[in-house]
Amino acid sequence: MKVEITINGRPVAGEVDERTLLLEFVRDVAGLTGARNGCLEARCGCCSVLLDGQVVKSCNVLAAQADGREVETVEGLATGDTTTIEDPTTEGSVGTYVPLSARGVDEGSLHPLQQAFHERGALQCGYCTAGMLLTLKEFLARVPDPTEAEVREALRGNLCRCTGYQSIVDAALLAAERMRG
Amino acid sequence: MSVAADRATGESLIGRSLPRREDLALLTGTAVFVDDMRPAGLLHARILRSPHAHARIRRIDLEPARRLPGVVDVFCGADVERSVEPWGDLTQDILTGDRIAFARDKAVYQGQEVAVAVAETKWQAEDAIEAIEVDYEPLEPLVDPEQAMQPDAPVIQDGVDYEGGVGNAYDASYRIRVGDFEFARDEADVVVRARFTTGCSGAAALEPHACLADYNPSSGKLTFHSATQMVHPLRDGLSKALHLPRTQVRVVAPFVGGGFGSKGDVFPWEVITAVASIRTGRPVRCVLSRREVFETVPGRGRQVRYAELAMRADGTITAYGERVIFACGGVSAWGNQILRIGTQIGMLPYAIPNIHVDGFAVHTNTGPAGPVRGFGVPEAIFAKEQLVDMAATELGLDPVEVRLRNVLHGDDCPTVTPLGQRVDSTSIDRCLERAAEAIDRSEAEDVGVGFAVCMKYTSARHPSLDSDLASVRIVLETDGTVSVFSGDSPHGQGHGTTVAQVVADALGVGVEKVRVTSSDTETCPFSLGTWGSRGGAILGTAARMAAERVRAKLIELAAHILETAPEELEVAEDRVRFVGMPGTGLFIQNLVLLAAYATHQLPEGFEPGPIQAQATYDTPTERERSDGTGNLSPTYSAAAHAARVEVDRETGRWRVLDYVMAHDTGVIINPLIVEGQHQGAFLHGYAMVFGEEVRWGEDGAVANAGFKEYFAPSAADLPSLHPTIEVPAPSTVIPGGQKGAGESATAPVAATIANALQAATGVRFCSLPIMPDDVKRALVESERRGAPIVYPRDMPDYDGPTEWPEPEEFDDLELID
Amino acid sequence: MRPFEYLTPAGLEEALEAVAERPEETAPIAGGQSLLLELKSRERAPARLVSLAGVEALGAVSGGHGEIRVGPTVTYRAIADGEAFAAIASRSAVTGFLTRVIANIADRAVRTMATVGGAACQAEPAFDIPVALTVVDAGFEVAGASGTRRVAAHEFFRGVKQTALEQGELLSAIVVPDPAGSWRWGFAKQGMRAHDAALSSVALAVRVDGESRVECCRIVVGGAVKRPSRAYGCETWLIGRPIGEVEAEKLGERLAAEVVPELGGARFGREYRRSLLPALVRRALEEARDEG
Ligand SMILES: Cc1cc2nc3c(=O)[nH]c(=O)nc-3n(C[C@H](O)[C@H](O)[C@H](O)COP(=O)(O)OP(=O)(O)OC[C@H]3O[C@@H](n4cnc5c(N)ncnc54)[C@H](O)[C@@H]3O)c2cc1C
Ligand code: FES
Ligand code: FES
Repeated sequence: MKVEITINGRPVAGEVDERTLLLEFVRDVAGLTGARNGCLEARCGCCSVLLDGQVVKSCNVLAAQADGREVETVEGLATGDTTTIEDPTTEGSVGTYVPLSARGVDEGSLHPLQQAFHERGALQCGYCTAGMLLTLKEFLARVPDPTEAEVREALRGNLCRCTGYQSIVDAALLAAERMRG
Repeated sequence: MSVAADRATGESLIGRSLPRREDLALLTGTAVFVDDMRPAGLLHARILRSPHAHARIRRIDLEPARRLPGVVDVFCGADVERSVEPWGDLTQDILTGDRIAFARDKAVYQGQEVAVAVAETKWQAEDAIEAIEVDYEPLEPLVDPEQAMQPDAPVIQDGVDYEGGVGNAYDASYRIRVGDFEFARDEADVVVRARFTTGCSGAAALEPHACLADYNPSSGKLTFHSATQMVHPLRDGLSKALHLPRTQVRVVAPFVGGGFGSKGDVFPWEVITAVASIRTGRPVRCVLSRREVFETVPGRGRQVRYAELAMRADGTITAYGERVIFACGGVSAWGNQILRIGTQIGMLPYAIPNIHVDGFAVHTNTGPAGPVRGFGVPEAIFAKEQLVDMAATELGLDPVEVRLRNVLHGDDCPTVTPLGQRVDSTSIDRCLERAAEAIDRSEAEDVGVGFAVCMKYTSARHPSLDSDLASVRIVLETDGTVSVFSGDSPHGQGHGTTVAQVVADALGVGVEKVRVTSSDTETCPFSLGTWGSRGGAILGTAARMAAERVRAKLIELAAHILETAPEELEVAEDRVRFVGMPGTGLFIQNLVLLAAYATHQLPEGFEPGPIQAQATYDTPTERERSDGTGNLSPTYSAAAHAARVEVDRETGRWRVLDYVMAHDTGVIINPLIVEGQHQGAFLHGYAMVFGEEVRWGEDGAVANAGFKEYFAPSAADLPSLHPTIEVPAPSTVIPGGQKGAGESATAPVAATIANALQAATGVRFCSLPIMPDDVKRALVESERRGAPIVYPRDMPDYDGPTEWPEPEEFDDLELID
Repeated sequence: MRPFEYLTPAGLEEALEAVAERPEETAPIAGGQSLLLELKSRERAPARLVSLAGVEALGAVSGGHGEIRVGPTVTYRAIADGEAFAAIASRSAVTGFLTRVIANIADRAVRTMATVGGAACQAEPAFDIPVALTVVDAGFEVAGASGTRRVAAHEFFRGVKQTALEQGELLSAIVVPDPAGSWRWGFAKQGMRAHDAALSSVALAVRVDGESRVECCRIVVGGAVKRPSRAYGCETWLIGRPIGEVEAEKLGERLAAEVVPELGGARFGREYRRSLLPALVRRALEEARDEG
């Protein structure tokens, strides 16, 4: 079937199998691999994206359900353009670091949440990060001045196995403070 | 932010909380993990797994699958019998032969590989494995390790001969014999004993295990991307299993989404995916489902400990004895290594003079056991640190005082324990004092405070793997930037930042000049991998050594050009300059250019071309001796934890009100990263108590193979954490003073919380996890009896063994070296 | 997942036709939060999915005549954020109660998609919606080829994943009585983690007279039982007592004695689920007293 979804402001259309999940559409059709498969059972939150501004687990939504709607992924968070790294086969993991400027992103163009995550060490392997960022973005839009307990509650559908969560919670509070101005 | 600017002030880069250089790609979603790669012509592999925990495989019919649309290849064990050989002996001395691609005649755990389908789409591959027909004859599964050890139990790996094995106890030879245990026990003022069990918590890294094999039929070369913690051992394991020369196999780990031990092995699906690519001549990817991860990826494995501790009236621990039974699942992964190292290191931070341990690594019809954060130390500490409290209670002593009396003291270091562990430095005594100061010990209803202490090895020489090394190669580029090729395989530890800091510091250049590449067998020198708290100390030392070699070359060259003595020169500000004189000397860039493009200007004997060096650091450690003694680790990090826990008597739920961690991590290169390691390590310790446990039913089927019922805690289920109290006692063995960071905060957590729960309720919880229904049941029972109980032993429906096993006689098995 | 056809009817008629055509091979999909889990694990493999999301009539909320009609495809999010009930009597106690219950189900991302009707039709014992809808005495409008019928909550929920819906029928509205007067509601559940579904849950509804005595009440238990279960004995016991003076402990003991848990999970057994009931009914009672 034909599905068209506006992703990060750009319409993406594809002729896809009905079974295609929104996660698969975003990754395989739109080529944006920031949303990740951590369980495919709606439990880990690695696949979280915003659908019409509301957070969803894209592994538990059909692309067909999102047809004609707007999706925001982690790639849409920073204001600068981010480019995917083309040739991973020649790079080791830590070698794929490219300076901010080379990606058309400087620190100023990162979203305050991204910036705070970076400063507070709120990511290690980074597999959960995209989902955390989008969940928090939607949450802070609703609750701009949360308590630590509220942040923890807001993240109850997102697992992280690396950080023990404290740095993520701290980063969320820091970003909230900056976003309130 | 340019970190180079600060170099003018001469400030060291060691000890600076630089935000990580890995972050940007991860924060913007552009980092590439195995599942993100998009090679042309990619095929998808799905593996058919045994639904039975123990079954003969009578017949496999692949034909119905082969006929389905989009299916490119389908094969099973019989098809690769001649082309794939068993593996596992590279990293383990017991010549196993039980690590195989597919179960052939018999499946020995639920989820074992039986066949694979390779297709154009994931759905087609999934349809294809459903169409495969397998005729199983179910056999009786052995789930309980103690039952599996009974003399009449059928032998699970009946076709393999294990040296040092007896029946299903494939390694029955582990012994510690120090001092005179029985005499010390008889002499002691109090002896406490209990049977402890720990559950199989999984690592549950969020990236499911994934690999992508790309065999080029014209060159005969296999490029293999995998979410692995060890590219070189994987390359060697794959080559061996596939009969390929190592030159023809390249293993690369792109970004890896966590491992915690669970990605450090050569796995059947990796071998299968490689074979699939060789057979089809196309790239093939296999990504495990979450269910497959829980069924087949090694978790901690269940351990049973019959443990006893003897104490003098003054609180001195005089003896410790254990019989340890470790359920290792159907095949032997790292099981016996975990048993040995975990138990030995678990005796610390005490210098116990009399120790008697009998340990057994046992096959069961369950998924394999393997390393998960802590490598057996948390399990050992869970038992021992509770026994310390039990003895202290009997003697009316304070748990902190008793521990202070027994822990190694920094002032006595270096010191060698009766177990042969040479502890170069420690601050565990001060950590304990600091933790005790920081926790609120006031009394309140249903609230208790508990303590536990531990030491953790900083990398280790395994009893079977006689190597404990890491390697780094550094190349100076002609623009003055620095390429670092690091042998280890990080997956969240921030090596790209930490190693850059070490190298930049040693070369006097800005961190942004340094680029670290790792996890690629073709460009990076051989290393063991990233596990065992090795990064900062072992890899960091290799990086420092390589950088110092490069620095010596730079200084030699600069001294020649500047016509001065090398001693007059130092590196700083991207230059080789006169000592203490900013702005003098030559830019490193110019020296490198000279070596590359103006070779006639080089001093005599100076090797022209790129200025580079490679260094390997192998720790000055010993192999385990037959009596269990030996110094397995170059240095030991330490932790003292304290918890204040509240119990809700109505629901049995417990809640950590406050948690204090005081650590000795030696010299810390990047405090931001190390704090993250501690807090993450805490999570894995907490999870063991909270409720993480893979559970097998009596039929050997996993009862909770998904996050719905595998209770991984979220942020809302974890307490707030304060910054760790660091009391650094720099290592005197590791040149930079570092100690391992990744696991020391896992080891004491379960014991700390269990001790606090005992203080709150009077119940001694001897089984992990400690879930609300356990607590509720125990509280009801102790109320009924009007006395504190030991859970689960004092429960009416307790069905565990009641007889205390006799210590094994000294036999000649252990003389095998 | 196995292949399926995906239909997007725009009206109720069309939807009913689509569902009725090959009823045994068809599944309606509302938010998909439960259905997709079953499709991915291949527990179910319908050949056609009929999306209800585009059927406007199924997503409407209206009030009047002492009742509130909630369209089955109204999402948890719309309710939790106060959008769904914004147009109708804003001070209604029953909408406040449902909002409190729903805002605490699963996590935000699931609540974005999940619908009240989907949860009702899925009818899993651990879910909060069946318990909450039973305690408010909701009626269920079921539309089929032969017209629409109305089913009371205690008839609608029949067992584990079993409802009064016949193949080819759709749940077309949930009718929640919005009684004037002094009804108060409370709900409490206990799961393992913050976002887990209930091992046991208790919902309570009481109406008090001028002297704050319980005139009429319903107590419903979920989680541990196959379908929402009324505790009639406890209800009788409660009647006539001043709401402020009810001894929660006694009520709890009675509830634990009256309800026979039918379900134990892979981990938490029936006895434990039963032992939670006193604490839960006390919390529900406190909520009913405090929040009204
Ligand atoms: C991760 C996760 C955690 C959860 N935790 C909780 C929890 O803690 N507590 C809790 O109560 N719930 C929980 N849920 C369940 C959630 O409440 C339900 O999944 C959800 O409400 C179902 O609604 P839906 O619209 O998504 O239903 P769908 O999945 O679309 O449908 C469910 C079923 O109902 C049928 N159906 C839907 N609408 C109709 C209709 N109008 N007429 C006839 N049949 C229909 C479908 O065919 C399907 O069989 C959780 C779900 C997830 C994914
Ligand atoms: S992948 Fe979607 S929630 Fe885990
Ligand atoms: S950073 Fe690894 S899972 Fe969160």
